[in-house]
Amino acid sequence: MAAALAGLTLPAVVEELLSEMAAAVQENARIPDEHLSLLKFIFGPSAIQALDLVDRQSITLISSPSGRRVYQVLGSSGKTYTCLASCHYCSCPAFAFSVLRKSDSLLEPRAPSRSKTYSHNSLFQRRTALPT
Amino acid sequence: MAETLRRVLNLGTSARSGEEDTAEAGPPLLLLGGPGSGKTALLFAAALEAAGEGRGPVLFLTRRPLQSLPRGTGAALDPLRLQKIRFQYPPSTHELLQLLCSAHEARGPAPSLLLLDGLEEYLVEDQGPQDAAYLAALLLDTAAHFSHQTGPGQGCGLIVALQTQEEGVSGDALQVSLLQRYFPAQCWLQAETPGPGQHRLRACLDPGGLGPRAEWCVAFRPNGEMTITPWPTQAGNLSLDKGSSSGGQP
Repeated sequence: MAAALAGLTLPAVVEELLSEMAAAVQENARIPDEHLSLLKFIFGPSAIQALDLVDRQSITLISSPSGRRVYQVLGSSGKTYTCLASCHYCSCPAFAFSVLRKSDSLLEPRAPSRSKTYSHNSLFQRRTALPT
Repeated sequence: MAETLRRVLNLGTSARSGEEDTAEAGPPLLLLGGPGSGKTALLFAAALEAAGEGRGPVLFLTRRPLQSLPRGTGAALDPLRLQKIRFQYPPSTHELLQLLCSAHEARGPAPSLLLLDGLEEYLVEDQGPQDAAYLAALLLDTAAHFSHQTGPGQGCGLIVALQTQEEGVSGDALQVSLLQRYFPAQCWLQAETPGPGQHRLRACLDPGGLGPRAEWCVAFRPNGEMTITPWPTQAGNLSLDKGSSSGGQP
């Protein structure tokens, strides 16, 4: 994995990591610790919060017959938030605070702010798209 | 839909290479400019261009009906193309959000191009950056859904026009930079100050890393007709003939 990191952009790295994690889950194998460490390295503390939400099964994928999908996340306060599937947006206050207030571009592969939007969306999408 | 806008802007040039006619939608594009800078005219020209491609209809969203159809780049308004443009006028932000959220429930073929004119009118009522981000993200999500419906190789483009203040007010600048984060491609329309009787703008298209920046000169004749020429790269060559489509080759 370390060798594959050289020369790749952050999104490509994240995609590869998430694919490997998805493969592990699909085989009902344990996700290797290195993957979890890498996740935390890339995304920071929000990775733990995101995985926590996944473990508590707080994420619901709502899909319509047309194929349009959206994620509904149950926060710790009991409120539900909407997380779009196709782009970086979540209606929770954490997104507004940590992502929108920063001036970094959502599309530039700079770890701190991009990671929060990515961890907000990508992790949920990958995990919930798998059969349980 | 940067590629569609680029094609519209390239219409003024002499040659259009055949390879341009790919059905690739291109990244969502934000069209920025002050009042009266020709955003609606360009948006409408893009609508006609997409309508003529023979794919899905064009969905044109704006708060108020257009008082008059903008004159395009020379070509007469083809009624067949006009028929493919569906105008909708959501009167409020709430209605616009409803429209976008329920876009997957609408029947009929999915649009090949989604246009929104006057985003600033829908952001007046917002309570903060999260609402602006929500609207931008929902626009992207709607276009992505349409793209998914039309299938691979086609896709639905998205062009949104936003009016900016002439002098940068701080709140406005924050909102623009937030919106820019959702739109990879941008096109700025800046008024140039030529002589009296001339209304000319510089259109600067930045496809957001997918291609080089390019500039055009957009001129409006007194009768409202819009002509587009490439912006001359040599400094000092500002004496473009008004409306000439063959001059000024860099």
